[in-house]
Amino acid sequence: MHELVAKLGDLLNRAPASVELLPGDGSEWFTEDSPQEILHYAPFLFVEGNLGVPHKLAYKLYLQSVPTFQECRARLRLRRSVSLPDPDAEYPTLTDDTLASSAVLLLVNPAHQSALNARKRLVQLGTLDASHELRFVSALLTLRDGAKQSILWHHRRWLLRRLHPPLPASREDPHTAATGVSGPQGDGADSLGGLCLDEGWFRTEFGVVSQACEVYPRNYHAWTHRYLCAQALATLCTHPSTSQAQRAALTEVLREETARAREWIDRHVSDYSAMQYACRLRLLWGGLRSSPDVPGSHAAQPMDEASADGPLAEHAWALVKAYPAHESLWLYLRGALDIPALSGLPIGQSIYAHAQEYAERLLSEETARDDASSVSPTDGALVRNHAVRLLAWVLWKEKKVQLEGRFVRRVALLAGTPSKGITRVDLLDDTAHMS
Amino acid sequence: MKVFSLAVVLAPPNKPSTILCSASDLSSFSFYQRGSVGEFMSFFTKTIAERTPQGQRQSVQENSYTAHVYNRGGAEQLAGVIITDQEYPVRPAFSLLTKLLDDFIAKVPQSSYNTPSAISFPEINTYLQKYQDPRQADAIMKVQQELDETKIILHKTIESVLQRGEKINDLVDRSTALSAQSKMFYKTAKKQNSCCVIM
Repeated sequence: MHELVAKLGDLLNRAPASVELLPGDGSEWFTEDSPQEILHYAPFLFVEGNLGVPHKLAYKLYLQSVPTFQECRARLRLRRSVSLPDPDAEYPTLTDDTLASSAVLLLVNPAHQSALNARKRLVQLGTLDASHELRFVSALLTLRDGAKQSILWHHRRWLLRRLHPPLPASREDPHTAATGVSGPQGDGADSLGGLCLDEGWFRTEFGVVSQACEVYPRNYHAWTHRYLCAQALATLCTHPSTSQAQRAALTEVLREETARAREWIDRHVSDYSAMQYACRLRLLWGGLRSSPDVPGSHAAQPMDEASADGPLAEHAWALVKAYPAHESLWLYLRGALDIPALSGLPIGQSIYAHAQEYAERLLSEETARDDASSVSPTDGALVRNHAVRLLAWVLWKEKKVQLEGRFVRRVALLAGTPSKGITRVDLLDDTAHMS
Repeated sequence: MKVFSLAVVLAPPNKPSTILCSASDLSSFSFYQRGSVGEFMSFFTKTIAERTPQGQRQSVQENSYTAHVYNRGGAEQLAGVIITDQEYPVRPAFSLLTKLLDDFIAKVPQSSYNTPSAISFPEINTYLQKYQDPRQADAIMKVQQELDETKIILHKTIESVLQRGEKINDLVDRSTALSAQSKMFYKTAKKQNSCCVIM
């Protein structure tokens, strides 16, 4: 194996704090008077645990790694089907070579499924520590290209399932009815449901997701991973084998999560995945609330919406008023308004009415100028579009209209009509009513 | 929704400008990019301030960044420049610039403009942190009666701010304030047309 591949593989497998690709061949970063600590790692950069790899070099080493990796992969396959006596004697550096070559492949292509599977094989054989591999995955997730790869997140969950024992089988959880998730296994084999993790692990996972969302904005797969963790957390809270102390600790983590999700949404108003996450989290709370096993589900610590600074719908509505041009916020509002209906609580009537009134006000003749909202003249058409659609949605939820061609066309027409006062009556007019 | 940098610039008309004081939050950028991003923020701040007539407001979009500039002019010949992401709302940005400049003029004597390194105005850091979430900041979300948004000139790229015959690539190349690494980042970003890298 080439010396530079080994060197880069070694640096990557140390699970650095961050990894990034630098443009060109990296020559700008090294001069004759660069200090020894810098030159030691040349042609790579490794400062304070942050790895920098020049682009051109990364691609060159990728090509050099391929034959090594193929060889390793073939041998690992053999080890699976035939138990060779003293297999290490035949290829003593098999583990090291696999680790180095696969790491270099993953640097350039973080979704390299074969490289990840080879590493999984090493974990299964016991020659690679699963928790160290988790840290390696965290490093890959700091790559812009890595943070968005669903395959990496899947690999992460595979490692978590290996590291932690499953919960003992239990009876049907009451919260699964609310969340629509079937049993502790969740929605198929890729969930974390049924795992016994402690609060430290959850906090780590949430932290990794946050970092990945900074690297790659509106990161759908990261938020999905976060939700699977939250779901596992909720399952643990209601599981009979969880101690009281554990339950309290886990509930605290969930509380932190709810607050954090809202803070994130405040600062990222286009991140619809985050808004969906907040709504689904609220549903998980609903499930916990109805469970008799959970501390404070009735009296002591009310776990309703008030535990996270007011109802979700109010949070959504405040944001819509502040930034009415963002479609994601209007959809967030809809999602939040939907929740009480799903968990059996009465619909937040006043929010519904206020939202509708606000939408109609936005659509009235005198918008923007003397309104306290921040609708700028350039956003006018966009805002009216969102407002009309909200009105249509409210009518549909109230079952005043059917979702069919004529109504949909009417909505589109009114949304595109400039400077005209529109109310729900205009939408109802000339459409089919439900009998 | 992010404010990346905030700067008070001494901008005498038709002369090179000087950044008197600035603050930045580049924590969302990766380790090796951070330094270069910082250099580019300063570079664009000055380039834009120098090409904004006194009394005028401009917004310049470039890839995933937006720079808002208000050249207050006046006796002090100051301009304020804020660089944000695409999400940050326009009115609070200009509101902040007006506030920043008023505060700066009140607290920093004009005599110290010659020695920018000696200027102490820590409030600029407070402004930067506080206004990361414009709703948290006191009332800047409300409409400013005197701010006529139709008078703000919007530029879709930085090229359109430049004089006839000037090219941004040349300015970058010739700049002594940009390191070799920064220029490399810029060249690669341009080639790949990738957003959220340097500029």
